[in-house]
Amino acid sequence: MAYITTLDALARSVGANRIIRGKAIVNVTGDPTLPPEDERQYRKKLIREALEALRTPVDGPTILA
Amino acid sequence: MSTPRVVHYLNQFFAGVGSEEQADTPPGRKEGPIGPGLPLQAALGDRAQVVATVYCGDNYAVEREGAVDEILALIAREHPDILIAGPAFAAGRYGLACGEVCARAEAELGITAVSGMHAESTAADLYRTRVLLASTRDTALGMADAVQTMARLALARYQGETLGPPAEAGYIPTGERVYFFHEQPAAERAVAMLLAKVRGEPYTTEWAVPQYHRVDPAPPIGDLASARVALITTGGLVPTGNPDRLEAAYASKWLKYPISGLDDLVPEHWTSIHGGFNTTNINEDPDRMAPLDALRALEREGVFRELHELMYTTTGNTAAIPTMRRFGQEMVRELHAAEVDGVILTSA
Repeated sequence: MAYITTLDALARSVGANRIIRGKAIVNVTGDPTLPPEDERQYRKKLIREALEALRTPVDGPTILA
Repeated sequence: MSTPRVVHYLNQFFAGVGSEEQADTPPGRKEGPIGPGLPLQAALGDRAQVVATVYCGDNYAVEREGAVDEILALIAREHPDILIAGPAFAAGRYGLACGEVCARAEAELGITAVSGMHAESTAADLYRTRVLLASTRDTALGMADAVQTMARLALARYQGETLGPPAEAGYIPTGERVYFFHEQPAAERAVAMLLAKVRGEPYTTEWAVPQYHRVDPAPPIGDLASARVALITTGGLVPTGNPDRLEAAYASKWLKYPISGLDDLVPEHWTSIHGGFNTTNINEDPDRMAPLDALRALEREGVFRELHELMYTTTGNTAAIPTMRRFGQEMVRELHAAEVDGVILTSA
C-alpha cells in the first residue's frame, strides 16, 4: 500500500509504511491554483510516485516522495 | 416478566467433548449449563437461566464455511434472550468464534450477546468495537472473575442499563466516545493530575495514548506492469446524494463502488461528505481526493496492468482506531480474494 496524505508525520507515527506527501489537506491529490491541464499533470506525477513506492522495498514507515 | 433465557457458547474443550484431537467437532447442544456454565449460572443467580449450551470444535468453527450459520441455528432454536460466549481468554480460534457468533447473534437474532477475552488477544482486537467483551486474564486461571463480569455485563446490557467506563465496568474499550459534563474544568483536572505526578501520587490519565499496532511492510511488487491496483480513500467520497449514508464523522462502515467504466470522478456524480475539513476543492473536482483520472492515464500507458473494478471508501474523521483497523482488515480480505497486488490509499 502506498499512502498519499498531507499529514505525513502523523502517517509515520501511526506506522504507515509507504508514504507519499500530497498537496494539501483540502485537495490531497490536486492543486486548484494550477490551470486544469497542469493540475492533471501534477496529479499524474504524484500517482506515478505512489505506484513507484509500491515496488520500493522499505523496512518500516518511510516517506518516499 | 419471565426469567431471561440464556444460551452459553463454548468450544469443544470447555464443553467436555475433548481437547485438540476433537477440534473438528461439529456444532452440538447440551441441556442446561455445563463446565464454565456452572459458575456462570451461579453468577446469574435467579436473574437469568442458562437453558442450553451450544458448542463447536475450534477448527470447525473458524474453518468450515457455514459453521457459524449452524451454530446460530442451534442457538436460535432455544429462543434465547441472551447469548454468553466463552470466556475465551487469549485463545485464538476460540476467541474468533466467540466474537463472530456474538456479532451475528446480535445482528441476526436481535438478542443481547456478550463474550469475554483477554484485551491483548487477536479476537479482542477484531471484535471490541462490535461485541461487548468482558476483560479477562489471559488464561483459564481467570475463570471465576470472568464469568462474574460476563454475567453482570450481560444482565446490564439486556436490561438496557448504561455501562460505566470500561475500566470500572470491566469490559474492553469499544472505541465509543461518551459525552458528559464534569463538575471540574479540564484545566483544573490537568493541573491536579500534574501535581499528583510531581508528588509521586497515583493518578489516572483521561486520555490514554492509543497503542498503534505496527504492521510489517508488504514486500515490494516485483512487476508493476502486471499488477492489479486498487484505490481506497478515507476522504468520505460517495455517489452524490450519499445513497448508503456514509457518516461525515465517526464512520461506522466502509463502502465500495464500481468504477470500471469511469475515466474520472465528476462532481455531478461524486461528492465528499467528510466533516473534518473544507471539501469545496474536492467537490469541484473529486479526483483531487480519489485520483481516478491519473490512475486511468497510467493504466493506459501500461505503468500497471489494471485498476480494480471497485473503489473503497470511508470517512477518516474522528475515527476510532479499533474500528478503522477492522475496516482495513475487512477490505484487505476482499482485495486478497480479488487478487489485487497493491493499493493506493488517499486521505486528507
